[in-house]
Amino acid sequence: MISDALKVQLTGHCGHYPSRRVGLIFVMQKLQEHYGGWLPEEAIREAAEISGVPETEVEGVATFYNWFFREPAGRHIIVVCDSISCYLCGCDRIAANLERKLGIKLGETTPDGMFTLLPVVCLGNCDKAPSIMVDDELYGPVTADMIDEIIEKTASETHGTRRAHDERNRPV
Amino acid sequence: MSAKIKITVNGVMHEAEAGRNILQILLDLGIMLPHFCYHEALGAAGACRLCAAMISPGAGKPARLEMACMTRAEDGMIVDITNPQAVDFREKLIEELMLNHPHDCPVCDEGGECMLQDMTVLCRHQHRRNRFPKRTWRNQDLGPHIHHEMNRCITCYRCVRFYRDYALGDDLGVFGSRGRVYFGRMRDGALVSEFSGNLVDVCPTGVFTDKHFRAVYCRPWDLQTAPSICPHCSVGCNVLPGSRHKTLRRIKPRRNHTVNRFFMCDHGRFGGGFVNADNRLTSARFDGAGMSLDDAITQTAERLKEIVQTHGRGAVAAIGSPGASLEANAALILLMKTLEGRFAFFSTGAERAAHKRAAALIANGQVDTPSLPEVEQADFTLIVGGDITREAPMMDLAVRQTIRAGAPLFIISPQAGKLDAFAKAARHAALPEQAAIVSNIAQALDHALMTGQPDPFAGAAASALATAKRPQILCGATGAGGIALVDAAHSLVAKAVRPERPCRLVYWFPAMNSFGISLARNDESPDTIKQDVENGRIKALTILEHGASLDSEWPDDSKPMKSCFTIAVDAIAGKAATDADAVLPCASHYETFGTVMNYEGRAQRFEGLPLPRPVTWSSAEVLLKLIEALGAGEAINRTEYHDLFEIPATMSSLIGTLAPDSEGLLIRSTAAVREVVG
Repeated sequence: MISDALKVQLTGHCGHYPSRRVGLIFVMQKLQEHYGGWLPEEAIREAAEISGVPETEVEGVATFYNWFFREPAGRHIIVVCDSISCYLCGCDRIAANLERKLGIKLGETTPDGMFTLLPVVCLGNCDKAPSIMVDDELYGPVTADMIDEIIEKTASETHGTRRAHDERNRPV
Repeated sequence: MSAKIKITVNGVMHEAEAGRNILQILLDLGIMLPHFCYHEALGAAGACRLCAAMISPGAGKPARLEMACMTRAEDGMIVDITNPQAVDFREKLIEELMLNHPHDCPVCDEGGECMLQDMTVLCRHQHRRNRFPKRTWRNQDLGPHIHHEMNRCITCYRCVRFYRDYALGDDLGVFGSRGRVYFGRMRDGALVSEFSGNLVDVCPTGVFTDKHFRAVYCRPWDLQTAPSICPHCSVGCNVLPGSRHKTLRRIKPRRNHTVNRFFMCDHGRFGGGFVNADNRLTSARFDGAGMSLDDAITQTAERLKEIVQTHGRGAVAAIGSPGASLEANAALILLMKTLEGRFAFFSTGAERAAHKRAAALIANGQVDTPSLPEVEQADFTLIVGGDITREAPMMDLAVRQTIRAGAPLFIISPQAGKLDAFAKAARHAALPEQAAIVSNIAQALDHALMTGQPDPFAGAAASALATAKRPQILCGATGAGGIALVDAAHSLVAKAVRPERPCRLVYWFPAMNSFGISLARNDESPDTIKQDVENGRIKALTILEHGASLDSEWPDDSKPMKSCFTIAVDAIAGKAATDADAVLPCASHYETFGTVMNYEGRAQRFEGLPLPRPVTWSSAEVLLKLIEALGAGEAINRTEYHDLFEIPATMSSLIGTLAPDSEGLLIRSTAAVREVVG
């Protein structure tokens, strides 16, 4: 459930465009923030209602983009590029190192809810391959010994750049 | 006609229509350039990249590898589809498309009519080099009609382009991106669109297949087919039923560019169950005793003669059927002429009056009735008199094309319908009140410049109608709206027509051949026939194809037919046949040939499937045998269609020559021929 205030805000936002559906992505981003970093089915319904886009299409948008999550994700999102430049420069090794360090496979979240590890196709950082991104921060070229440092630095932060995960931002 | 251009294909000069894409031109020329995502109705998407060809803008200019579907043909273009670079490109592309496609052709329903199979062979891809595992999916339950097999998907997007973009459905979507694209519903459940069956046809491979056909599957090349017409509404979609081993297996749309073009509705596609039904009549009966059809006909003829001798003229009557062919109803009328009897057709007196008025307006060319492709072209639509989505689904699909183009839609209907969501305004009113609302629009049209209309709906509709360039009104001549509604719609159109701007008018009817029987000469109101049967004035009643008629409530048990000898000529053991004194079984619609007239007054010929059953005669043939048994056989050859129906003599003589794969014969154009001839 979202608050009436948020609903009014998002409904108003869609009204700024000649077609309400243009506001959909913004609505979904705000809802993902509201629901603590992911979009439950309820959020899909609400986004559909607010933007006037059919539910099926909202689901299509939610599953199309990498940064919309349809199941609970960790506080920090780590993506490993596996596109052509990074593949040639050994992204498999980087991914394997991350998996070992975090104790999870690609596509999984650590049991403590701290990290989610995902593959991604191209971060646009091909000149610094292999490349990874942690929350909003790009790293590259990444070497195996940098992994520990990056993970520890990220874990030591009280919260990631994805602030919505903070308790104080959670819906009451 | 659009301008012609010259285009060279594989070294040969061809003439083509300007403004079309190169792929369509090649396909029209009969040159098979491999393609997937392109569909004539759905347009070009450029998603599959398969229709690559070397295209040069003109002689001496360099050729480049381009997608034929995305390239507009220009005069002087040179196209080479055999160029090694293009051939190699297409082969590599098929190899990629086949990366995840299962090699399950031997057990796949689509096998034998699979576009992917054809194109893979055509592009000569034979050897799989990819050694990685194929991606697999969980399939969804899409309801009773459509089977889902996502693993076979090659992501051509045809399904969503049809279901969502073309048919404006919103419960089938596309999810994910890149190598994990999934086509389906958000969650398991039946597809709600009236046109979901077309997914089976538009999908170039076996992702969406016909569940009913799966249950009685056979290879498509083993099906026997016959060009037929769908019996379920007055649109008259061209269909291709397929049978095997004495049963109807499936129904597919048959292309006709003046009627349904590529598609058909689910009601027609999945509504062929009556052919295989358990309650088919298989043997003749007379006075409770089973016998051969010949004997039953002879005995029935004797009994009819006795009744006429005893009770005189008008003692025998017949009820014809809007669900039966022109031939069958003509034979029934001829039978009554032979016996000096009376006849009517299944409906009510009020409906009959409305149908006759509407049919006469169309037949005389007093209204400009659009074909389905013409309905799609309108830039203003007013629907009145019924729920078009249920009563003429393919016309609903045509109206959806006008909505896609941004044309305003106004609806006056008895209750909320599916098109309401797309309407500029929808008004719900009981049918008898609808004529008044239509008249309000006509009045508002007179005072288009005046402000403050008393009826805001009528005002809005009138001002949109006034500014439209190609307006149309679709009026249901089906039910209780009656003749008042038919007239109201006609006067509104008469008012809206201007010399530079036609206003088209559709009357849609309740049944396949309602139009045809509405042209019958000398028929009575069904109400008077019912009355006279119930009060005993009519001594013998012949009922034609009650099972195919909409009015199944009569005859019923509530008012017994006093001392009336009833003869049922029917394919189905319904109420009429169960209670009849003489039962003369006939073949069902898909097993017989004949002619029917759709809502435009378009006579269309259909052929029958050769199903080897105990009964193979059509109802028309059964009735003609009966006439012969009465000793009036020579009347059959002397009678022309225009003796029995209000149709021009030219049409009458042309009906016999109609071919099922033709455009049919429009009554209003034959009327023009009559004027010219004299």
